[in-house]
Amino acid sequence: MHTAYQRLSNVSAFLTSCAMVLVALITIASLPPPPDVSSVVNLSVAAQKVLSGRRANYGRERDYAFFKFDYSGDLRPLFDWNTKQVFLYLVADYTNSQGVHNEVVIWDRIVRRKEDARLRIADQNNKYPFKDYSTTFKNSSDVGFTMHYNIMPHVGILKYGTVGTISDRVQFPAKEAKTS
Amino acid sequence: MGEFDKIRKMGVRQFLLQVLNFVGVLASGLMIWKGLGLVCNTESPIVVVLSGSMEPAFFRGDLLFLTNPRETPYMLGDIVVYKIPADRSGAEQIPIVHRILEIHTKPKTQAQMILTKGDNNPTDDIGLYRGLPWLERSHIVGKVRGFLPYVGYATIAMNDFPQLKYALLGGLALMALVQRE
Repeated sequence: MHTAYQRLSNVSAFLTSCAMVLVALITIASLPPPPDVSSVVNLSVAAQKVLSGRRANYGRERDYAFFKFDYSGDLRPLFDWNTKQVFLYLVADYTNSQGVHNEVVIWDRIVRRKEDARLRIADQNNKYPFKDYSTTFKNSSDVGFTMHYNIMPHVGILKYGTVGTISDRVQFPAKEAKTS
Repeated sequence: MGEFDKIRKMGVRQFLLQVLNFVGVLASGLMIWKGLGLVCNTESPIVVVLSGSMEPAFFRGDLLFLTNPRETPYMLGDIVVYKIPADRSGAEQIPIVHRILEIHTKPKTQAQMILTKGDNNPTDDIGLYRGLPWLERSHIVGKVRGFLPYVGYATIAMNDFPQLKYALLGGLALMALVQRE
């Protein structure tokens, strides 16, 4: 005996299993690591200045560093049939005078289409305030800069990788005298 | 009233068996959830995105799979789920899914001081931390590893319309009692 309810339940159960298998297959098919994109990248960073000031939310007066960078690269190989977006971010890393190792994202960009994946960025300032764990950059090591990416899939696991890094670390500029 | 007649005809033994079956289903669901939590080392291995602060990466109703291995340090660019402890006003702890923007690693303890930001927010999360200067490992529920769109929308619907939840639960319970294999 097959009631309408039984038929409905069977069909929906079958469709659910099909969808789950499909999702699993997509996830497995997109497991392999993304292609290398570091061969076509130019990245250079120049120090601008260090200013001290007080900003809402960050408490007492502290130093803020400013850098400018140029970047050009081709991220098109990262876009395949299961790529929803690529999140590109520039990371500064250095060690401060207290031995604290700092990694700070100073700029990011969301790339949603393959057509927009060839980027040429010049004279770009840092997007986010660049501040130390303490209040000052005094006696910190030189800064290294690396461009990273994160691939967000339509379905499946998130992938991370490096696009390129600068060859020589950049020194923090001396703090400018306050003008006020 | 055929259904009620059926229940009456079932007899005590059969009725209890059905109840046992239903409880068994519930218990195995809970066991799978807790077991997954144990393997992934997180209190909730699967979470539903509740806000639009990570758009266009994650939308409301998307499902995220988390892990939180104890020995693995967090990395810049990781998307994490964190909970800020309740303050004195006793405000609820709402889990937040955001991306790591800064990590400061202390030299001796290797403790990581973390700052996060939602991709869709203009500024970082310092204003959400209820006075904490940094996030630490103890606040973090897990790191997002996998993604499945839309599926979590059912839970959002159930939260927005509680009647739906009770109707669904009641219906399931009744069905489990009535149905005979």
